[in-house]
This record gives sequence, C-alpha cells and structure tokens, in this order.
Amino acid sequence: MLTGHRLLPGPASLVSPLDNHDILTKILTHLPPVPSSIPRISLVCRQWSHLVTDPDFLRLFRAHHRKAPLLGFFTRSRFYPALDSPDCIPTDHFNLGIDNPERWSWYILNCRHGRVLFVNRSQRQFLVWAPITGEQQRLPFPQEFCSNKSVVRNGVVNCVASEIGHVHGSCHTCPFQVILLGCNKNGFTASVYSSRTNAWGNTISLVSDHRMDHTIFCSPTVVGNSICTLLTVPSLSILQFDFILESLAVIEAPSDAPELALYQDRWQFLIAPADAAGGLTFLFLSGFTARLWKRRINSDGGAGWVLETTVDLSEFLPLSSAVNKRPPRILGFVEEDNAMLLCSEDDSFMIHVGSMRYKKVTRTLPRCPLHPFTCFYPAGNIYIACLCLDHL
Amino acid sequence: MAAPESGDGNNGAARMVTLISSDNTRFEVEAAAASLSQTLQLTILDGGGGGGDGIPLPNVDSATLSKVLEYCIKHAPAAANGGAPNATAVDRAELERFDNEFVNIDQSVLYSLIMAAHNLEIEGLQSLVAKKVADMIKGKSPMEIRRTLGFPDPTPEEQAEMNAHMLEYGWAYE
Repeated sequence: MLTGHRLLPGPASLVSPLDNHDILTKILTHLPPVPSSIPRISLVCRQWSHLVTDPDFLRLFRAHHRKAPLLGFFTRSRFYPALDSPDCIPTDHFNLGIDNPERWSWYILNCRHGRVLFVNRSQRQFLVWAPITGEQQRLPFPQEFCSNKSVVRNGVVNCVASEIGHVHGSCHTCPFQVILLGCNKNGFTASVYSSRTNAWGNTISLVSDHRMDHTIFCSPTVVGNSICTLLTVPSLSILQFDFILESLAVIEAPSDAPELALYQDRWQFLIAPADAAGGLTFLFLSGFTARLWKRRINSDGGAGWVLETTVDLSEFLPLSSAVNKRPPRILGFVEEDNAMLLCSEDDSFMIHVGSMRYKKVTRTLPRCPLHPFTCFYPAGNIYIACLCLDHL
Repeated sequence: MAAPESGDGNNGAARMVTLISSDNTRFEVEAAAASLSQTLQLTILDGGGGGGDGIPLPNVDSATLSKVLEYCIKHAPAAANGGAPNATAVDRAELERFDNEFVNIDQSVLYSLIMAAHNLEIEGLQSLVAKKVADMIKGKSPMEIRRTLGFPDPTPEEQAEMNAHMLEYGWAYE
C-alpha cells in the first residue's frame, strides 16, 4: 500500500502537518487553479489522490479561488489554448466530433459556464456541448422559431446550479438554461430553455422599430440577469432581455455616441457590466480611439450615460508601431475578468473594461470572434496527467 | 467582537494574558493579540489567562509559540479594526512585507507553525503558511513535490503502485 509519506528524521515530537486532513486540504487549496495543479498533486501519493478527487475538496478549491482560469478560446471551428505549457490544453483535446460537411452547418453562439452553444439553422437545432466531459445535447428550436416567424440571432448558455455558494467554473454537470434572442417582422422575441424541465418556456415579444444588424460584430454580453446585444437600425441602441423577469427592453445608446449615418467598417462596439448591480458600460472603438460610457441611475430614478474616458490605444498599448498599422480589433469579452480581448497586428491583449489595465496574451490568436472558455480543470484527466508526468 | 477591549482599564492600559508553552515558558502578551486565536479568545472572554494563572498550551513549544505571538502582535491592530477596511495602503504594504519575511523560514518551522495555527485556530496564520507550502510545490512534478516535502523516495512496491496509478491516467512508457 502506498502510504501518504514519511518525514525525514526530525524532532521526535514533530508530527507532520501533512498527515492532518484539514491542514493538507488548506495547503492544497492554495495551489494555483491552473489545469496542471490537481492532476499533478493527485500523483504524489494515494492519500493526496484521494483528497484532491473528493468533491468536497474540489468545492473548497473553487470557493477559495472564486474565479475559474481562462483555458482558451473557441472559434467556430476549433479551440485555441490561452495558457503556456504545462497548462496549455491542445487544440485536439476539445473536439466536437462532428465531421464535415455537417460540421460546417454548426455556428458557435456562446461559451459560458463550462458549456459551448452552437446553432444549426438548417436543422433548426441547438447543440450544447460540455468540452470537459464531451457530453452533447441537441435541442430543437422552440415552436415560434421552427415556423420561421422568428429568426435566431443570439443565444447564451447559463448555469443554474442551486447549490449555496456555487462558484462557476466546474458547471458542466449542473442544470443549465439556453437563453435565446431572435427577431421577427414586428420586433424581438426571446425564449428560455431549461434543462430541468427539458422544455422551452414562453416566447417573450417586444414590438419595436429597431433592428439587429449582423454585419456589425458585437457579441451579446450577460449583465446581471440580462443579456445585452447591440441594435443599430435606425439608431444605435441596446436590446436587453432580463431572463429572470422575462422582459425585453430597448435602451438608447449614449447620445454622444457616433452617428450611424457616418458608419465606417472600422467602428467596433462592446457592451459590458459596469458594476455588480447590473449597470452597463458601452465601449466604442474607432481606429485607435476607445471611448467608454457608463450608465448610471440618476437621483430621480432615471438612468443616464456618462462619458467616463477616452483612450488612444496607439499610445496606451505597447504596439510595435501604430504607423501604417491596422487598428486593433475587439475579438471577444471575458466575463470573469470583465476584460475585452483585443488584437493588434502583432499582439493580443486582455484589457480590463473600466480600469483599462491590460496584459499581453502570450499565445498567438486568430483575428476572428473568440469565445472564452474558463474552467477549473478536474483531476483524473488523462491528457493533462500525461503532461505532468513527463518530468517524473 | 469586543474581546480585545473587554479587559482595558480606564487608564487605557491594555489587558495582558499569560500563555504557557509545552516546555513551561511563560509568555505575557496583550489579550488583543492572543485573541487572534479563536481557541484562546473564548478562554480570554471568560476572564482566563490573567494574573498568575496563565493558559497552558501543551501542544506548542516555546520556539513555536514565540513565532506565533510575533505574528499575532503584528496583526492584532488590523484584526481589531475588523480586517482593517480603513487601513492605509502603507499599512497593508507593511503587513504584506512582514508576512513575506515571516514565512521565509525552515520547512520544519513552517510545519510547527501551521500545526500551532491549526490547533489555536488562527485563520490568517494558517492561510499564510498554507500558501507558503503551496508555493513551494506549485509547478513541480509529483516526484519533485515528494522530494521538496521530504517524503522518502518510493520503495519498489510504492513505485509499482505509482506506475499503476499513472496507467490509470493513461500514461504509458515508451
């Protein structure tokens, strides 16, 4: 039997704290939440292996770290790792397992809480995929969207674990919702699928003259209990769907935001949370100039946008040279870090929306929309364990 | 919690308590510092540890207790301030500097400290030492972790079981 461990000879009175379950738990929860941590320590000895695969330990580990690490990004076709070795998860490790030509009819909508959401408009289906377990679940469109009355535009997957103190990041076995936003000739529609009931809820509608313009990329963002997405016609505004209250609303964009009549294809937008109370941040990037507004509640209960900051990214970011360079591009938004992912011609950056503090992404990323995958990597994963054993 | 103030006299002198280590050394400290220990706080609230009585700590030797109290004395003002929400950046930086230096010690002392912090229920000290030990093993291979922590090399029997364990993880020798 492989025992825990024996201390080197020392004072006779010294009992190893590593033999104490509570102390060992405390030490191991302080290891960084990167993918290699738990598989590595699970191979130190049997006692450690038992400890770190215990769901109670994993719960403490997540609760201690609060925030799952960013493992990489999904695009429509593949996974791009964000971390360096030994925490770099190879592209092939997360494989949807659907071959062409069918693969090409699946479009990625969202990646959140350990699951990736795809849509196949020709088959009128969604696919919810948990890359960690490989589990896949296909969902038919709700009736309203099957009959072509409404068109699917955005979707978000949302963990609805009811466990007290649940920390997102290992949610791939938890119940989930798919929150769907679409439009029809009268305005907008929304519906929520629950894995608990395995059914879509009511269709919620809002009559509106606004339209979504899919030529402008702005990924939908979860802000509090709402999904927010950009509307561009006839004026710049935000569609907000509160999936708890099941209500749709249109919010005007900041009045000093640019006139869409002057629209240029180098304009980019980002909607982000401003605070934990559901406030909004609106970011407009034109060339190298970023302007950032926050929506604040006034004393009369109304809400108004305030221009917070204007930043020249060519001066702000360590770009090799802004001269004759293409302006940076917003590729995605990392909800856990409240950070936008931005790429210049040579580099990628994560920029915290609000403080505008940035850090460089060391891995090479494609210049296309990226869906961040944040997750606590569980123990017992074959590939990562192999990586860790290389230097045994 | 009003514990640290409960024994203060009108003249403002801090209430003192006596702690007695396993090797019978007596340490006189402010009740506020000793009260960082959840275990001691109850005794002190009950009026224990004052005068000539002292609180015996049969599981903690004098070298360890002296180190534990060094931590408690340094952290007591911030703890009395409810985790020091009003602490200045300078104060916080000073505590951080102290903490970093404090755990820059031999592994055997770290082990004694975390045992004492566990027995005395001093949450901050437990976390500080736990983080230090975690830092010592992070990024290391399983074998390096064993060596760092002073585990003996696996016996052939243990190695065989480890190999079997590796196979569970799908690893194969080539």
